[in-house]
Amino acid sequence: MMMDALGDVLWAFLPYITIAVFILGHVYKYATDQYGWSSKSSEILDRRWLGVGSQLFHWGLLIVFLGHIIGLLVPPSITLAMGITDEEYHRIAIILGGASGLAAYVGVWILLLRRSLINRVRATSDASDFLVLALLVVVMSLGLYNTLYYDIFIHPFDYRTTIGAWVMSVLTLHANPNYMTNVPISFQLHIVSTYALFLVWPFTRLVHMWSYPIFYLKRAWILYRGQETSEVVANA
Amino acid sequence: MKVLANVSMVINLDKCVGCNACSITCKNTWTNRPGVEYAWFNNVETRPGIGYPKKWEDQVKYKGGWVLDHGKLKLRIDGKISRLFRIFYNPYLPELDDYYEPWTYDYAKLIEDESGKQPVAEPKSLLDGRRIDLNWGPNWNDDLAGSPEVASMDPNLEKEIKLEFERTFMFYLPRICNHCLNPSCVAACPSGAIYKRMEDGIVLIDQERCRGWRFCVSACPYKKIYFNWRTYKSEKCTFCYPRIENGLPTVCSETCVGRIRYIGILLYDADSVLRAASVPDQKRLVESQLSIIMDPNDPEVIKSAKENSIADDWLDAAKKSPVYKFLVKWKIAFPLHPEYRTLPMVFYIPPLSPVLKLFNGVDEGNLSPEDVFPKIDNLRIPIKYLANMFTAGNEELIRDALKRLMAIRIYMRSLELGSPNKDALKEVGLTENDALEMYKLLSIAKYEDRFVIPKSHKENAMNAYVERGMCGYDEFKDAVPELKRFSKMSLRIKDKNTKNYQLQQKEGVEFKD
Amino acid sequence: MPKANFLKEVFRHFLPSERFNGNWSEVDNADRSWEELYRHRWQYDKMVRTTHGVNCTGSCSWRVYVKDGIIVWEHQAVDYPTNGPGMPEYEPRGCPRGASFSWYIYSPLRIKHPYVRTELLRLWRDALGRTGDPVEAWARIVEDAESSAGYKSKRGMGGFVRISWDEVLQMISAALTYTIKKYGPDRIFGFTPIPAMPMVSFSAGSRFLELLGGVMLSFYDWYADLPTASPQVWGEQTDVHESADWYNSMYTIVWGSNVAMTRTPDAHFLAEARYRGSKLVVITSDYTDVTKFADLWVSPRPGTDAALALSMLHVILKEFYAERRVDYFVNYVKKHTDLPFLVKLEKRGDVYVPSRFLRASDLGLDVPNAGWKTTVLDMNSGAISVPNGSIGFRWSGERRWNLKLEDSVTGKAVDPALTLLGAHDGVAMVEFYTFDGNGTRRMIRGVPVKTINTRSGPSVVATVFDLLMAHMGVSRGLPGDYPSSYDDPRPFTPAWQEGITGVDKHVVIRIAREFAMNAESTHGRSMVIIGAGVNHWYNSDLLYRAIITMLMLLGTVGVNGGGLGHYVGQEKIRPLDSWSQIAFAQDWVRPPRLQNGTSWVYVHSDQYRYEDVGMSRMGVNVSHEHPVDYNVIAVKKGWLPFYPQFNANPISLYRDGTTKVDVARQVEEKLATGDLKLSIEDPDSPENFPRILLMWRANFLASSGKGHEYILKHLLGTDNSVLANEGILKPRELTQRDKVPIGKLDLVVTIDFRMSTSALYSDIVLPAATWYEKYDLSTTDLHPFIHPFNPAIAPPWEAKTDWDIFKELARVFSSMACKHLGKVRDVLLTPQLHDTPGELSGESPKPKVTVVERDYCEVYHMMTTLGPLIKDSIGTKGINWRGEDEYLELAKLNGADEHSHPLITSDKQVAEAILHLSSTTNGNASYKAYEALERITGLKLTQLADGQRDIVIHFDDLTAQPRRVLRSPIWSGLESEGKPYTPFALNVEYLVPWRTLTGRQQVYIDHEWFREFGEHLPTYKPPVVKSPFAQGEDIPVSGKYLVARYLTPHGKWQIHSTYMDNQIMLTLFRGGPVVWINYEDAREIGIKDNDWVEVINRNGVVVARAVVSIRVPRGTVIMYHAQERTVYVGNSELTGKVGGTHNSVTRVMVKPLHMVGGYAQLSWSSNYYGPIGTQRDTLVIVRRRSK
Repeated sequence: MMMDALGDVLWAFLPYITIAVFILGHVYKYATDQYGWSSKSSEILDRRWLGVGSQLFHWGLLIVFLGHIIGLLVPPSITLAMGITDEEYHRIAIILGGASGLAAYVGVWILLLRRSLINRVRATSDASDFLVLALLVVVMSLGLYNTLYYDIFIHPFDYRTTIGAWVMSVLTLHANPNYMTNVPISFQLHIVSTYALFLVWPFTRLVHMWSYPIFYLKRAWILYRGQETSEVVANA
Repeated sequence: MKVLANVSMVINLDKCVGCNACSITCKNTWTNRPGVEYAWFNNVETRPGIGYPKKWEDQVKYKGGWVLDHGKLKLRIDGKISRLFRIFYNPYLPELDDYYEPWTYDYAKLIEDESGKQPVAEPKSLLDGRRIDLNWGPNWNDDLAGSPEVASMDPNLEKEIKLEFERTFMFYLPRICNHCLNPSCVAACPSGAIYKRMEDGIVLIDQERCRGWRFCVSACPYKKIYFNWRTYKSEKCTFCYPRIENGLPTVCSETCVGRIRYIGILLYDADSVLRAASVPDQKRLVESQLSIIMDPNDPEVIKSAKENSIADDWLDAAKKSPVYKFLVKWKIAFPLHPEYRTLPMVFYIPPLSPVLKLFNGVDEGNLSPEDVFPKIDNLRIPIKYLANMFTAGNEELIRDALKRLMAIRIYMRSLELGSPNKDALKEVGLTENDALEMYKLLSIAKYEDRFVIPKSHKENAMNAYVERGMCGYDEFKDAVPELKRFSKMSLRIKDKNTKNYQLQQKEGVEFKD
Repeated sequence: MPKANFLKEVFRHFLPSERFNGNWSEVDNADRSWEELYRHRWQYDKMVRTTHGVNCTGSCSWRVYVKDGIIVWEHQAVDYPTNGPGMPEYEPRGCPRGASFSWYIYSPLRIKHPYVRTELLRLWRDALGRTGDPVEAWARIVEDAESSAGYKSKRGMGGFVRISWDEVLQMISAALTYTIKKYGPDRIFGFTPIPAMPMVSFSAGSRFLELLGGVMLSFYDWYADLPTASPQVWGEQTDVHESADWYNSMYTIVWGSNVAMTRTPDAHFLAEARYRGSKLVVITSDYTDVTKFADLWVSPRPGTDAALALSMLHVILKEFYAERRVDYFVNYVKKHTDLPFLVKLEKRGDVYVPSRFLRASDLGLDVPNAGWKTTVLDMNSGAISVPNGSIGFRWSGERRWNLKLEDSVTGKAVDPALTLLGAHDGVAMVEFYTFDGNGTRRMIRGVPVKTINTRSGPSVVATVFDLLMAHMGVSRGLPGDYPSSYDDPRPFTPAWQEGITGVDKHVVIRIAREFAMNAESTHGRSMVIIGAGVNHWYNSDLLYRAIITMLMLLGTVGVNGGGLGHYVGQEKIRPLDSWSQIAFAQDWVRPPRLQNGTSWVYVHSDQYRYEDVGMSRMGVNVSHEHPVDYNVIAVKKGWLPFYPQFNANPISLYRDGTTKVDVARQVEEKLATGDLKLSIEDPDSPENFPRILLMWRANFLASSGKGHEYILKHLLGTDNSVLANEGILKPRELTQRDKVPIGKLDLVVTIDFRMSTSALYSDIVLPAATWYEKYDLSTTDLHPFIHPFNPAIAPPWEAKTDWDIFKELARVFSSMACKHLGKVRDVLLTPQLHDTPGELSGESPKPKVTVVERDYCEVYHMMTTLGPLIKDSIGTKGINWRGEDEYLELAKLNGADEHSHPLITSDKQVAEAILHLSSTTNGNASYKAYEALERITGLKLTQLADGQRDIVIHFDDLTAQPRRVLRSPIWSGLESEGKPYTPFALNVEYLVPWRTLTGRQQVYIDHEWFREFGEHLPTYKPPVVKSPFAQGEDIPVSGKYLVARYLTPHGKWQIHSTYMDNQIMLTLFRGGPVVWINYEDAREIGIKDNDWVEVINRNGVVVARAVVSIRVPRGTVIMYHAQERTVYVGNSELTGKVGGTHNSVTRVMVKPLHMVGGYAQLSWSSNYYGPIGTQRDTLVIVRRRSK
């Protein structure tokens, strides 16, 4: 009973709380605090470790993120139909995901150490900066453990039919905790810690992800803005 | 032709005292707060020297401005796509130490110390509070401090220019944002947060939209955009638009005790900016920039200006603009580093003084005592050095400007001594009227002549009738439908209406004829 | 509140937008509402007009912005009255230092509460607890050797604790009362400089001190800002052009003045005059900021400028007087200079030496003051004539004190002979002097003379002009040691100077010619702007006299755009007449006790004990070797003041039953018999110590404290770095005690708003209001306006205005002293003053003795009301009128007490009183002043007050807009909208005499001491210090070092006493004290830019960062003036202590000629004449600090 109740909370209730906070949080943040919406770069204060750390972290994470999308949202049948066997898929996931995960992991540690050890950066950081990095370390540690240790040395775990299915169930608003029943604890912890990350996301520097400037490609080089005007004047 | 107005500034380096009053008043008004205490929207550099941030003119290092690549203009830091790929790390960004680590002192110790020894207030970092040793600052090489080591790193210096006591020369270079016509910071901002104001050309960074990607900092070849490490957004000189809008000069201009700054309107052809910035021969860049500065008395220009909603008082101001006179009429003011191809809108009158190379007796030949002024080619400041700075190496332009300045002095002296001598004026192609007008503007320089600033037409931008009562009550404004801002959607409606109106007018006139 | 809209933000990118410029540009449809951000920053609540009370000569009008009750920033005012259409305006005035002042208001450096050092507080509370009486408690502390040495040795060592205002005022009052009772009020000293910058704040303390009989120290001479040549030549402390008049010059030489840096708000006139066709020559040894504007830069070796000037003078005399006759010049010098006046020549061996002016008394004429009337040879009559205008006429009541060229006896027009050449009846071989490193150099040159009959037989006379020509080496065919050409290296040719200054002779010839020709064609519009760069040398007066002589010869003095502009210190208190009454409580008690600062420091801080510069190599025929001997003589003769006066309490000298006159006679007798001794004869005896020093608005210890380490040692009794030996020279007129006095001062109080070095070393620190928190007044010589201070906020924390602090102190003191002292009679010893009949004291000089009554119960009442003495007489500079009308009006304006004394309880009322009573701000007073001058001169002058007689400038008028002061004869300029103030215009245009012996500008100074020192005519003397350590002292360092000339000019990032610690200013340069050094010198001793260096000599040690530069000549190091020892100062390797201030390596050197008194223009008056505290002649050792 206890387990069931916990399962419901963890896999049927919390996901929606997280999603709700995530979305509404962003809306709130965007609407009320444009001044606080920034990538919060500290490159100007110190650059020495950033070239390696930031790039490893961001690029690594980008690939890991894509991997998660494919792994969780693309059903095995589709990859199979594409001629990729489960084993092949798994190998690719472990190699690519592991490599990029490792890169990002090294990156996040560099970022965390940089933030902790370099006086200027530490002194100008706020708690949320450390919180985000700490959460990322936890999430990524668990993720890497799952990918590079559990999957290889304990036994391969088929997360696509379990966790993937659960994710689909959540996203289709029919959250089914049963998919998660047999998921190893380390995978469960990975997911739960991700909740935490998503919960703080809108209120931290992580929001800058949404500002990736794709519209830059579209616009002209030199921008002008005219004087504002109100309807009243316009109609006058 | 699309005629727009740009407020612009002329800085007469020949009169600059190097006192930094501009820097201080600007700082106290705008950047005296955590995050930008290291940022000097206005700074004054001693030249020769390497400026602030260190060696900002070194575009190999910082990748600022534009370059011409097979006839096409492109940002030196590369195209848009590569920007998106390099967004996680920008190797061309100056570091804080290139500016300096802002500091204060442990002042309280002087009062509170109980060590039994004489207390001394030691410097400490404003970033992290630790005690630091000072080895760089925003004006570290003021008055040739640290020369020749530091000054010899000045990129504008040629090898043959020697830095030694007997040949000492220096002048000051006050710098603000140039509010360029072709601003590379605007082009480099991935967020589209930086823009030029249509009505007055002031370049601003939208503090709400800035996401802190910092490409503007690299792309600005003048390093006049500063990253606020507290708010994580870029900031820059705003040309004091809250003052300019009310017809007041910028803080740096009004508080300039050398009275060296002039502010006025320039009309420019916004449709020809790309062409002007893409002239292959960089020595012709000054000339090409001048070619898109429009004559405010030309009827065609006036017509186009009116089509772009430029009001009559603005056109009047453009006619009286001291900037136009120095820049176009007399050609004695130049942009800083035109080779960056941003078409800067702050201009400099090059320093005429210190005049003579003469040092304790190396005379320039036998002159009668009436010839009190020396020859231009005998200047203490090498013309080549000035040309590298203000005309992309075009020495003729500098020489002509300096000759004109000297001609004014010779002519005015002859007037004071009672026998007008027009020869010097003739030689440089100035009339007596020109000379008197230049004298009045350069020398007497009354407030109203230095600053010809038209006031903003806020009535076009807001419902001034209602705003009058609501002004300042920002928190309540959303409750007042009349003040709801519809921004661009309605702007277009308005433009359309204006155009229709103008069309009718035009047709009416034609009909009448 | 939501500010952005998701959908709009996303979709606006897909909306069509206007593109142009070949698709290069686009009109973005994003909104601009965020722009309110910076608009909100700019918005403010109020703007208050005020200024800064610093001695920078700026006196600029500022607008201080207040937002949400907080001072946020300040900008310069731009609303000055116009200078007219043909002139640049004064707007804006202000510099970065002023613009950064608001930093202090809320800074951690601000003194927010009264503080006292722990040791002293503990002693005080303990003693008070035991005795119960504050005066006895103080006695207990200071009379116990151990406790007194204990708290004194802690000075400067931190350990301040907060104390309440009540307790601290009680403590100070106790010390004051005790000291008056035990030693006398003349043991209490006040130091506060430069009243022009805030007149009320200065007066607060000075009024209080003078009411209780204390002594105010002078500052202008002590700062070496006083150009002693000005009183010597013009009889005027300093009088210079407002800066707008620079614009009228057509040829300006800027000499040792860094106008761009130190007169920042005025520099534009210089820059702008160039476009009017004016030429600018800069003469400075280093490449300074102003050199940037120069058409020509000349760099003489430091301290040799006089040689350059003299050779220019040589060229001018030769080419414009000997070879040609320029009518403009000749007419000018005949009327306005002493050049035609006759000088007696004395036979000495086989040659003649110039002696005294030939006077009416020599001719046996029976006229009043015959001994003070000088003579010329009248070409009209061919006879000797006594023309109007010499000093004898000033005090004779003849109404002939004017410059009309008429014989005072016959009234006929006089045409004075400039030269006797042609009219001479002989050529005398006359001895002249110049000096090189080794002492006197004699030159024997022929001078055309006449022999005339005098009362004492035949006498050989020559004109000053002829003496000058001979002295300068312009032969005119006369025999003697004359140079043959400009290339002859004999004095004072261009070739001669080349060997001394290093400047090519051709440059000198050219500048001299250009300068003179310009003066000829413009009738005098040639100007020299001069300043501290050359005034701070020991022999600066010689340089100044050389330059002034040149300016006189060219007819430039008193002409708009011409003459000498000396800009060092903000000395011009435009409402001097009213201010000096209020500031020194002369409305209640006259005279005040005023002391020249330099002598006071030199003697009381025992710097004289370390003297190593003997006078014999300074002069021709000097009587004493030790300069302090001259000071003792000068005090005895009543030439200079000195306090404490006697080795006895001056309030104990009075005995009941005798009259004031008796007491005075008694004192004189006692002095003669030796029963009573002057303190200066035995200054290190404890009864002659100064006991209390109050400093406000001052950083006496760091900024102006030459001999800083000696002051720490002897006056303060705390840790110091004095390295010198005592007793190298032995005084003869003064008892030098074997017991070295340590810590003479019992109480040192600083009143300031920031923790300066002086505050750090004081016993008590009181929190003062800043200039943005009080009412006050400011004027300067650089512009004609009078500026108000207005409070933008209330004084924060426990700070109070200076006026309130001293008012409160007066209240507490009055009630305490009433009990202990009550009413007393005080014997005052004062010198013979300039602008009084005492300046004719001549033959038997002696100090003046006055007895005054003091009611200590009434100090508070007198402090806060204006006394009635003003009704009978107010004025200054020998011009006095009745002030009754204004006094009565003021009583209505300010309100009055029950005896109808106008109230001055608040600072604003004091300011109003100053304005209302002064001839510079009240038109009616101005009229009365001209009337008074008419009575002395017999000239018609009141028309100058026409058009302004009805104008009264009130305080609130000044707040509305800056106002030009009115014309007044207490100043020599005649300013108005179209005519900038130029000094001596009144003399040149209206024939009012200069206040000198001849009534004219004085080239020749005939005083005996001047002749002994060979300075009767302008000459050259080299810098006096030859080594960083004296003979017999070991040089305490080894390894690589540089011996260099140590210059302390103004800093770009701090000026005067109140700026070096400002964080913003420090950020704009190197962040702490620096020493500029030449790049080649630096390389040779292994110094790199920003290395720590030690600057060492016998006086002490400074530690600072090196600034290596090409703009400094070799052999010279520059340390900016007023560097504190409180901010980023390193430890010295040599002493292990914190490196000192810029004055740690200096020591005061006094010049005996500055002590001459009672002799026309050479008479003492506070800040007018007296030895100046020079420090440029210092040599130092510079080395790299290894860690």
